Amino acid sequence: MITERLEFYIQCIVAKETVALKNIYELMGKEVFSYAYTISRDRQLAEDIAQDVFIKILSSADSYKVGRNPKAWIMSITHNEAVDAIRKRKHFALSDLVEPVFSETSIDSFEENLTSEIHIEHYLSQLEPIQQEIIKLHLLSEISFREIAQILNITLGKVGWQYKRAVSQLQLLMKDEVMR
Amino acid sequence: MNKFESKIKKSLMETAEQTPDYWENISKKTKIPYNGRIIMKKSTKRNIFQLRYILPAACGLALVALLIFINFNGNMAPISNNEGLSNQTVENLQINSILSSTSAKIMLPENGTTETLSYDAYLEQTGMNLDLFLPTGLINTEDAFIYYNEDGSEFMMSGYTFSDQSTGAYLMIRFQQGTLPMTDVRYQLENQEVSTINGEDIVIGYSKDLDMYFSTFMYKGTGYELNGALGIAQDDFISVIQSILQ
Repeated sequence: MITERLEFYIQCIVAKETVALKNIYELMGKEVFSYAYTISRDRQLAEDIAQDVFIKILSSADSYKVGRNPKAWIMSITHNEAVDAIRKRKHFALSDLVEPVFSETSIDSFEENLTSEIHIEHYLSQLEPIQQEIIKLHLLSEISFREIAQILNITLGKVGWQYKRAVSQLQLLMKDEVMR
Repeated sequence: MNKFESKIKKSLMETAEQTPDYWENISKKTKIPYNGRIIMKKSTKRNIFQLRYILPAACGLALVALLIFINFNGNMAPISNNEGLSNQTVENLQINSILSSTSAKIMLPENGTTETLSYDAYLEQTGMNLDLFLPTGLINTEDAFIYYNEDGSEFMMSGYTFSDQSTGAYLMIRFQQGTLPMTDVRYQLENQEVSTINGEDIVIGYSKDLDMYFSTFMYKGTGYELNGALGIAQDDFISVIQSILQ
């Protein structure tokens, strides 16, 4: 259902009904931010990336191919925007001789203030970056391994392998919380 | 998706719900009204037009995928069964508890190469004569991704997965020629009690939380790593080891 709605809204944008971007935001805004945060581990940067993602959706809606998973398309844009933003920020940080924003110390109040049965972001941050992305894309956004492989530009086998490893790792890390 | 994955999913969704609202900034940048939105139109001509073509195509694709899946599974008979292992002996069995695991950061070789190899192709390429025992229901579901060093020697592999898609049980086997397999997860065992299987010293670990057996050992110049999880019985896991030690 969400796929059909997203596809419809993307087509509305192609038909110059740009207000449909708000509908896409309502459906995907949280997931886009969450995924951007996973990659950047910086709240402000994640918000900047997420905003850029929606602006990009507006400008490139006509490149969306009908029948493709629109969620995977949006997450692919998010991945690319995040990688770009981090690269730029890294370059900026290095040229100004300051610490990159995505160092461990940048985990900010967003994460500290989260209330949830399990502090999932804390555990996720202990996995390898690629594993964090795969967990978010597969479990939160329900994107298939095949589509994740395309987004991350890695093989299907590697996605499955990293996913399995990530789940095993989380199980060990969260041993105490899961037992509750 | 198992219970644990469902729990992670629920937690991710709860956390995502706490995302700050950032539409205001998008609205400013795009000049799209802050409260604007389109009401989903049902059965517009455009949608009907698309559905007329998309639905049959999707059904056709689904049918083709189903046929491929059925054919694929039909051809993927278990590689072996428990027969032929009666001569094998377990002289001493020690199962060590897995206390914890650590994720190892691996630096891939800069000028290395990679390839995906099927299980059969790997055995053929390495000249290994392995008649692997597979517990009932497991089929080869994942090929290995192999990284090679610049000189063509194996750096590491992701491992071959054999799984039962109806129960989630799986066996992962990883090989490396000449050394124990390089792995991205290291398990810390409570003890290092050694089992003796077919005259070979083998260390076996088990995690109750993960319902996972683990073992890594060298045999005839090849390093092995085995993970049997989510429903693999201890006897079956031992039989897998025995089938390697032939």
